[in-house]
Amino acid sequence: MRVNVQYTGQLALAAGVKGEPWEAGEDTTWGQVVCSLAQSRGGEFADLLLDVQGRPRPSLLVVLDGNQAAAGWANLPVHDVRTVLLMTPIAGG
Amino acid sequence: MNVNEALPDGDRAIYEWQLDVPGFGERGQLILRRSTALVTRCGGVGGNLAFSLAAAGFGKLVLAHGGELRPDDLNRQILMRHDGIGRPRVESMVATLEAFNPGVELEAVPENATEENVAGLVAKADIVFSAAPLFEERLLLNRECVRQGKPLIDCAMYGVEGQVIVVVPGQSACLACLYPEIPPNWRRRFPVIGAVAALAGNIGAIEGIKRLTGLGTSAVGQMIHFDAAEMRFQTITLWRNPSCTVCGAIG
Repeated sequence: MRVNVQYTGQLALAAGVKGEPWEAGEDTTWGQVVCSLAQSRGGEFADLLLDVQGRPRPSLLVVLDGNQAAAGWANLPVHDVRTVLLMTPIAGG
Repeated sequence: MNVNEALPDGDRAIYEWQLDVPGFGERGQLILRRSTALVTRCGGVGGNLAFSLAAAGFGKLVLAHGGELRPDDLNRQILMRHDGIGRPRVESMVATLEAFNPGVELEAVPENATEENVAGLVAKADIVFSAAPLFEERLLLNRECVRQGKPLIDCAMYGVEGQVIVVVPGQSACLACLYPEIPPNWRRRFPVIGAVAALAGNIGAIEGIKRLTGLGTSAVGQMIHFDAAEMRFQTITLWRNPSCTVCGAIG
């Protein structure tokens, strides 16, 4: 299935785009999607998404069809979700 | 609040246009007049925010911001002035706000929030507005607001984006529920257009006014996020983290 992936803040700057379509199998988990996205670009983009162990960063906010993903989101399958918004923390004042 | 207390005539003359706002009125104005807000810091986001709180008629503003004014502050820090370059930022802040609304009591603190001063700063206020450029400060203010049970309006921006989070301890997600660690990739220098900072600050100001007066529907427990390049706004409901080290044990 095709998922609409959107980025904000530093993540959008590192990606060079604010969003892109992403193909994922229905049984793919969101954690796997985030890891695949990180691997697709590498560099700063990947560093914003994943920690040194390759796990999604605890401060990465994941919003699925407008709702914050609950704890354990990385293990949830992507089915029935059209848009995922990946938000890295911002503190500009 | 004593509902029989009348608004002083001097206040009525200044605020009469906002007294007409349904759901606000004299009661809302009296609440603001009796309220103290802490704003830290008072740069691009916080300066605009403080300006709007002064315009709204808060009784007292505690303004915390350290350091001296630099030329590269002046694309966004609306309380500052060119002739203040090299001088403490609080001097410009106080001069601007005193000239704008002398009816608001101002307490300027020439320091940023630190482990040493944060308890005292938060204790002075009925509501706290955080607009610091570092997560160390934001998470410190969040922790102290949760400890003291004070509402926190956290306002931030990046480039053409902004976000505001309304935290009511024990009722809503706190900042540490979202950011359980200091984000290692955040950089002190961030892209900023002053009007975007102003937008984020003013969304924070109206959320604070709503929280205190009961006007409208508070965005408590939500993140208001906007992308000014597309002029797209969205409101995201935030979940409390039951294992949050700051607020997980309360409420």
